[in-house]
Amino acid sequence: MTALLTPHKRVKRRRTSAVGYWISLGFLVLVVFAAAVGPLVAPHDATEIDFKAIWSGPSGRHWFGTDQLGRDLFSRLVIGTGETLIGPIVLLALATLIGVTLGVFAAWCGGWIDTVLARITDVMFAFPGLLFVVLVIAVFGKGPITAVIALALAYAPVIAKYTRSLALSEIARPYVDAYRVQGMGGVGICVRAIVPNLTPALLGYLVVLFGETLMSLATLSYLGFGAQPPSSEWGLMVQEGQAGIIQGHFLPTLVPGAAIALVVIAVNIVGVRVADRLLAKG
Amino acid sequence: MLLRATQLSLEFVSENDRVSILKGIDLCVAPGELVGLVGESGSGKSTTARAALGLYGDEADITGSVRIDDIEVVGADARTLRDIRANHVALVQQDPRGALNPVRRIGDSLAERLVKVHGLRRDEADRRIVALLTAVGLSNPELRMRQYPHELSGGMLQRVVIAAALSTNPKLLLADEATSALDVTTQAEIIAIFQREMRDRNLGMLFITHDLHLAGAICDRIYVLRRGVVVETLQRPGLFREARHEYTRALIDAAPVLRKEVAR
Repeated sequence: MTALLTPHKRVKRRRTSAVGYWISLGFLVLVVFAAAVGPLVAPHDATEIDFKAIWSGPSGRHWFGTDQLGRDLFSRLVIGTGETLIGPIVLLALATLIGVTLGVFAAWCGGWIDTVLARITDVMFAFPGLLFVVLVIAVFGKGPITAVIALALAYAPVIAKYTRSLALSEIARPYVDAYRVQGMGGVGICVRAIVPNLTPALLGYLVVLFGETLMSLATLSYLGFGAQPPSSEWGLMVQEGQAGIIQGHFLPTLVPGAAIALVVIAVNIVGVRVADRLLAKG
Repeated sequence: MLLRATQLSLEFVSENDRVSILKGIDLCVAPGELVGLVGESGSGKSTTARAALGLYGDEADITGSVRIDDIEVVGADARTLRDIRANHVALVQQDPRGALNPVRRIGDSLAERLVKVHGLRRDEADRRIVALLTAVGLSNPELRMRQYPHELSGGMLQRVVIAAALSTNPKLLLADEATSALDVTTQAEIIAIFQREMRDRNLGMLFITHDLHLAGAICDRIYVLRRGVVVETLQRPGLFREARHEYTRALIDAAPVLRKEVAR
């Protein structure tokens, strides 16, 4: 009986999640569009100070209101989209490069190399990522580039561990033996056969990780270690708007905060579905 | 001698355990010879082939000697191993679908090694592959080369894998249950291809199978393997009629046969 019920359940669940998926996807398309052409479409300049309209509420002139310097929140949000999104992408690219290399290398070599790499990633796991990043920033100075590189180093072990487990099962497949018996070298097999076969599962995972890295970078900017004023990176906007909360002006923190939350949620909804699709294919 | 194993022993070692898989195997394959290696599951047939190709790393403790084309495999360095695998020997595995990289087109899979390992130009490699695919009886080879493994049937893929194995002109072919996954008709066709290619190229072949009757029908000599020991060597002519060892007799008797009066 259970077997008969399952397909019905699945269809139902799919329909409800499809609505959320399409809304999320539409929202993300808008966000990406804003990131691409933000400075061109924004009604005001990101640094345009208007002392007559400090902490003003939403109006026809300022859609989302203004902050403590009278800067238009909507414009700052739209212009900051690019910087907010490019950070996690660069970060993930870097972390993937390091993580996939380490993971595949460990899985391929096995033996003591695998053990050593596993212990290193274990240490990185045990050490809180954000604390590690703060440490790196303390040594190399604050700034968006240091923040991205430090976070990439913090995320690399996560990706390395995931890649290693995927690569282990991939290496056990007969075609890898076939390659070896053909006299192909280890590096050649890894780059030309194993990594392309891991790509679907890895991409699905990366999409989900994207939301997490966006949060991390915004957190760093909020703490003052990432983007620096007068940037309108969202995390920094939240921090700058903080002063207004005591005086009852919530919009300067709420607007960028909600933007971060919505993008992360949307990316996760879309990401989970994309990951399912890619995994089903692979 | 193309393949000669002398007192080949293999133990799998883990931190607190040693499992002996092969116990002093002696076997040989000469050019033009089709040699069978039969035995039940777990008797060490595939392990023998994999050990002969040097596919095991630290997890296996190998003693004795395996020489392919008079080059020692046991204890050989990576460069020697790659040379042996690239130029002297080819392996055909049981599952052709698993033996091909699923994300690459057939043509790319086959040409890859010729270009990367043997330094052929891509168009030369392609020409050789088309000729080989035609030789192994694959229709429309130009189309097949553009297709992915999942678009082909098991029998077609086994032909592709055989073509891949032959593409570097090896002298020795190791067929590890190469026809076991195929239906009888396709099996017969594949065997015919093997036999023809062996004749044309003077190949030596080690044919690993659990199918004693198939081995009996095509092999010049059969080694019967049981728990890592060669218990009997059967030589043509005679083969099964000469079988003395109780294990071989048990294997022969275990196969279902049509009763004589029905068969006649």
